[in-house]
Amino acid sequence: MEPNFIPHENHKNIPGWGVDAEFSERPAIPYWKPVAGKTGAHWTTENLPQQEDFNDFTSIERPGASPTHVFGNASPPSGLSGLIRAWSFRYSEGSWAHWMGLLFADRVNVLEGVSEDLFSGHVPNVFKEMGLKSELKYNKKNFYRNSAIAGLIFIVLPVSLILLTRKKDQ
Amino acid sequence: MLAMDYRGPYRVRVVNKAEPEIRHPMDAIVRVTRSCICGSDLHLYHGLVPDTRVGTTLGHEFTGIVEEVGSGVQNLKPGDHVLVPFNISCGSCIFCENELYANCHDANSMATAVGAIFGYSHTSGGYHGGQAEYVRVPYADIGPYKIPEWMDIEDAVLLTDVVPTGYQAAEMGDIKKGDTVVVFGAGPVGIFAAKSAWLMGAGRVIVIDHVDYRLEFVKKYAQCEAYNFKEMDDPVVFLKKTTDSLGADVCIDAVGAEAAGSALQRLTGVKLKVQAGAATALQWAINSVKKGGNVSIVGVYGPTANLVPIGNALNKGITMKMNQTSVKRHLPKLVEHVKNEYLKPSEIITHRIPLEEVAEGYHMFSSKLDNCIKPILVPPSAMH
Repeated sequence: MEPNFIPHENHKNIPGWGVDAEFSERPAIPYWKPVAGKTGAHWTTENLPQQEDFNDFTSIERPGASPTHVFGNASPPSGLSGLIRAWSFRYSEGSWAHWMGLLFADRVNVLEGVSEDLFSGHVPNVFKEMGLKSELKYNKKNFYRNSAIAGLIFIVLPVSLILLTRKKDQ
Repeated sequence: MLAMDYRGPYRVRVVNKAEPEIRHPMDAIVRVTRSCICGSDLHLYHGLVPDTRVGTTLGHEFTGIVEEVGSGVQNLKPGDHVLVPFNISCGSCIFCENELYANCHDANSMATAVGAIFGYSHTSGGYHGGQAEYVRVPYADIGPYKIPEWMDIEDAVLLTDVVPTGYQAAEMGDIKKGDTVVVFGAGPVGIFAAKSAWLMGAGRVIVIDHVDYRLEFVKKYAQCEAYNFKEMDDPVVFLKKTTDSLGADVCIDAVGAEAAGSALQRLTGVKLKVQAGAATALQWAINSVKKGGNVSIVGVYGPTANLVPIGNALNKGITMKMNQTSVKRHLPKLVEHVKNEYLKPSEIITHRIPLEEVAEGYHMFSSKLDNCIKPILVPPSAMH
């Protein structure tokens, strides 16, 4: 059954109703609002120092494909995912190759992350990383159902296949 | 320091990382006092945003105390308690000089179509975010805003993104007195879009979602009408019926890439990723707005392309406005609204989670457990 319409009857009593009704009261109107010299910047783009040690890719749509004066360096590219990212950055932001390449690199990067963990002697605690304690606490039914499905796929099926193969070999 | 560490879709953990350093004279280092998990962080968490790299610390909504400033910083000093807008903006490019801080051209080397955002993938500049004990804040004289002494920091932290984004959503709808405004999405941004629509003089505010506890919340908090689209045969027809068959004056998409409501959109946008997310809310917004009306988009989509009825938009003569929020430009107005008690942002916070339990926070928010609306993270150093 479709819901009934229950309009708010006394909306003019809502605190603050209409205080910004005038367009002149709204900070983002007009869209382009010149405030040069009042942004807090006490520099110009031309005299801004350049941050050093850029070790990532730049969009080929940037002027001269050069880095910005200030940049992030959270996770520099590396490994196979880095090579795929390098390939992706040969294409412009208007290209599907650019974005699909980056998404693919992200998936490869996840596997690299797991293997780095293992090589450094750390076994990822997937239960904890996925926050499944909260699922167990607040959504028990779903937790047990999904655990059963995962158990079936990752334990029961492989073990059955191994046992079957061994039986055949004998 | 402790920091959240992205390991891949649906996997995050807290690890010890090196404390950030000043890398540029205009940088500051901020010790985080509160940070949030944002609905748009879930797009990263679900693996939808290209160039989201393992090892990155997410989080673009945070407050903190300035610990150190670079040699060129003039407007901040150690000890200042600041809220930090999610945008990183240079303050001197042509876009910043026109108050389009979200579209800054000198902070993101890796994309030109996107501005720079803390902890939001390398597509948004490759900066670490605020779900940590410390953060490097570039262009520290531009973004950070000193929190007034009277303001609760939990109100302040929501002024870094959610509140301004909801407000800008309403603003981009060019709402006039008496307008009927439909907001798609009863998440934190949708809640503040609905609240802001009243501030702009709307005559009716209707929120559409499919999560009952969120609809109940928005109905009380934003004093609006709230309806569950799962109870409707067709949300577009439902909305036409309630607007004299003409459609709403303004429709706001506050959902973005992970909308429910269409199996085709979910399959192609979320599962197969052949389009940049499920654009169901936008599709409904275009089809529910009246001819000559306004559609405002703040829901986040990926960078490729989406299935939207652009032909209908053309034939109906709709005006569509969209952007990431230029937080800095909205802060003076919104601080005033908090002071006048027109807005009490912290009332939407449902969960306060220790930073060490960030993975539980993400899962709870993502799966909408325990009536979660807005989870915030508290670092150990800010516990007392």
